Amino acid sequence: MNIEEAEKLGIEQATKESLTTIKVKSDLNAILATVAKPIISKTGILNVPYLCKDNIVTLGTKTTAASKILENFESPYEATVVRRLREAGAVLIGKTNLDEFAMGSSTENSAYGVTKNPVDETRVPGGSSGGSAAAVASGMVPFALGSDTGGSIRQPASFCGVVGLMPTYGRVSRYGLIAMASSLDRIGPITTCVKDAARVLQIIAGYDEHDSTTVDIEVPDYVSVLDGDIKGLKIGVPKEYFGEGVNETIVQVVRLGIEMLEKQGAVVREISLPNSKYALATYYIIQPSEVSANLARYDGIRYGISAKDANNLWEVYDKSRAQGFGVEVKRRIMLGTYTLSAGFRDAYYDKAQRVRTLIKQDFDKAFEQVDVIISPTTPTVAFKIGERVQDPLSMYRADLLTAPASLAGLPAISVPGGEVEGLPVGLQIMGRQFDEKTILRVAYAYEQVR
Amino acid sequence: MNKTIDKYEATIGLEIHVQLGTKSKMFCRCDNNSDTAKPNTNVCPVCMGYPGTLPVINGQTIDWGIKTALALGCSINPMQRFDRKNYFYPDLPKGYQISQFFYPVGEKGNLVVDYLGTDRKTKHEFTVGITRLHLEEDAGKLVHTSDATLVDLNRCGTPLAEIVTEPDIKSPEEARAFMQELQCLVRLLGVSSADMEKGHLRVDANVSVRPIGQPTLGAKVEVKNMNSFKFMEQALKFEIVRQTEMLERGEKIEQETRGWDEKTNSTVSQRSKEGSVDYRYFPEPDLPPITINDEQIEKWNRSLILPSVLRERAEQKGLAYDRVVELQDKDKLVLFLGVLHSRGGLNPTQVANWIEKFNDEEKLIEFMDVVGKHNLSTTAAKKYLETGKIPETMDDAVLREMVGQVLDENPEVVAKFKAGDVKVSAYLMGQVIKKSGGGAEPALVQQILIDLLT
Repeated sequence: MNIEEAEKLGIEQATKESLTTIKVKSDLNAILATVAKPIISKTGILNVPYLCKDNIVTLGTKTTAASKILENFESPYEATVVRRLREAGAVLIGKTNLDEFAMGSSTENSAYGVTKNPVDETRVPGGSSGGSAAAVASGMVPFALGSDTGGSIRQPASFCGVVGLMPTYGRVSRYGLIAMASSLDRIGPITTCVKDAARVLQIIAGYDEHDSTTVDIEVPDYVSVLDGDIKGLKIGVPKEYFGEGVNETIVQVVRLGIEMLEKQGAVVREISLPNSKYALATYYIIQPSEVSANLARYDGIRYGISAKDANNLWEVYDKSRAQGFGVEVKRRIMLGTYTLSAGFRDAYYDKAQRVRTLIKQDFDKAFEQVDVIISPTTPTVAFKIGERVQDPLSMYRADLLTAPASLAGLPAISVPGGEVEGLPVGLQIMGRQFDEKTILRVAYAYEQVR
Repeated sequence: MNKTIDKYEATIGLEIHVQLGTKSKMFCRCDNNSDTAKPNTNVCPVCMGYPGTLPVINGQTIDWGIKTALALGCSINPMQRFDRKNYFYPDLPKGYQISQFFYPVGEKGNLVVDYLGTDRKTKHEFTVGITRLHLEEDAGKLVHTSDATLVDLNRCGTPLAEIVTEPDIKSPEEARAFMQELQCLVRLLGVSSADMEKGHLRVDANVSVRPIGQPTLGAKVEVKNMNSFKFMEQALKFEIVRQTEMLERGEKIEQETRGWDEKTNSTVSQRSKEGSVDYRYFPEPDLPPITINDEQIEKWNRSLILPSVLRERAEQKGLAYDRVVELQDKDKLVLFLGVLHSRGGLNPTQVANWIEKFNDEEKLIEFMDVVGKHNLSTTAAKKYLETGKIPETMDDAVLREMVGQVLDENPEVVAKFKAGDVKVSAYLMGQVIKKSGGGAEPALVQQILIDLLT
């Protein structure tokens, strides 16, 4: 079900069908909560039902971030994106599963069970927005909101065969997104087609006085520019993204996609992003560092679970956090506490920040020559449930090709690009800062000819 | 004891928190004044650190921080950036405090402090280096009851300017003078009410004592819980004596934190330092750095009014230093200078004598004009102030009779005068004016006195 189809059904019928599909496909475990009485609006420019990743706060439902520590948490306010969608007529019908606090690449780290990939239920849907991607891919809703810190929208979109858009850092307000790594977190749509991604972005994009990192610049009309032709548009193909660690068949599928764009008049150029090979290491220092601070507020004092068997203040902290957080969350808190600690900050956090600048400079240079950069979204297709949970490093490697654009603050979209052994492959299109318009146009052009 | 103390010298450095009196809090729009609010009523999701919330800087806190830093002679960092200071405590809802660690608002300043000695005449002067001034958000408050500890988050997110001085202060008297000067300064800038009793101005001191001539400083002891100027002075005095006596006995001073206990009038050990705490500072990603241009800094710099400048101007107008300090303590210095600026030819001491009764420049000037024009005595002027009517002046004959009466009543004084002690005429004059109920014009009385006496 795409947005247009849902609009044709009418909001009441579309909502009904959505809720039915959610029930029928409950074995996917994509949904953590449904809204008991969805607020049906009949006006607005996006009058369709939608789902929201459960790390974005909403009114009328719990918001758990898939963590036990927030199992009964109800937010006293709603996120800016949720308010904007509500005002545009979209109807929130539920919250989707994710890796706890968005930490993971498979949605296996949820305190509320694993989400299955609707394409192959023995496989993961990717993560951390696995619930949102599975929900859209299985036709529950025309769109869902996800969040992307190192690949968490694009990678599950790729694994489930749907479209996932990560906007430029500062394009969409983070107010109400439960922070994982504040300098990297972004909210974006997961949809069945490129046009729908453009339509949702249109509503959620723009300056927000509650988020100082949003930028007060014009939001262009994303939909009207979609079918502009791509003659002469320059596509950069970074050789580092097609080499070691990337599945060869995926490489072939993506190269084929690039050829299709070339046939439509795009100019293809091989480029080099030499520092992108450090992106994963850099990302897994900066991100846990910020995590270690952002998750300090879950201390059992004000909200969330609080250990009952504590005898003093420090036991309240220790036991609440020990009982409330899962293994991966604890791992990242410990990693980040270490990388920020006196005597180690220079070698880890500070150095990672300098490498982050180098990675961004590579992109700046590349974008002097090309308009977009295309690569595979992920180095592999969806892996089996349980395959990587014991090996964090192999799990982290799922972010290999998505982490660079995250670190550089650039917009990127993953569009379905074909299949490998029956499993979806995603094509990642990265663009200049605040140039979502161009990556959407290229993605749309690709979608038409694929 | 004094002899012993003479062999040692004390070194004091201060760490001060000034609560900025902005209308709203530092990172949200909650009312910044919770002095009379019920616990946890001045709060919102942002200052309570709810999941998903983000801080938004209140621009006035940066402006006021810069003004204060400029007033303390600091150089201003052109980039204002915030950092996270990580630690766990129930009064800290986010688990980190938004502060400035890497780039404080201002650094490397100094404040020249002058103060009145205990003789109430002598002007003392000393300079204190300002290490840094940075902005940070306040935490909440813990309230301990018999069976529980409660958290009040009203104060969370209140803006603070933390000021750290160099260890340039040599005595409790100087520490007090510095704090009073700072209080005066922030009040004059209008950035804080700086009430110590209300916690709007808080101070901790690092105190060490060493034998005079020893090049290195002694082990420093941090003294906390000094909630008034009086307690601060008492606590520092106590601490210096305590450390001096320990040194005299050959004991080693431990680096520790002690708190002033007003019940026992002594400092009590709170905790010893077990190495320093690692706050894992890193730049606050939710707040982009703000660039301050030189022009803006220059503009603020030019518009600064400092208490020392006001005092100097008052002295230049001819007012004695002790009177200047008195006016400053009564918060009348600005009014004083305003009056002398608006109306030339007034006697500064006389203006100072009357200023306490006035809050309004125009009214004071009007009053001084009437006093001058009618040459009113103090008593007459007082009467005028009370009744609003100018006491009638006596006519010459009545006054002559009155002077004659006074002379008759004071034969010994008259004798003294005639023996050459002319100063006693002042006494006689006072008696006449008193008798006249303040109505007599001093100059006229003087003339009649001289007439009748010579």
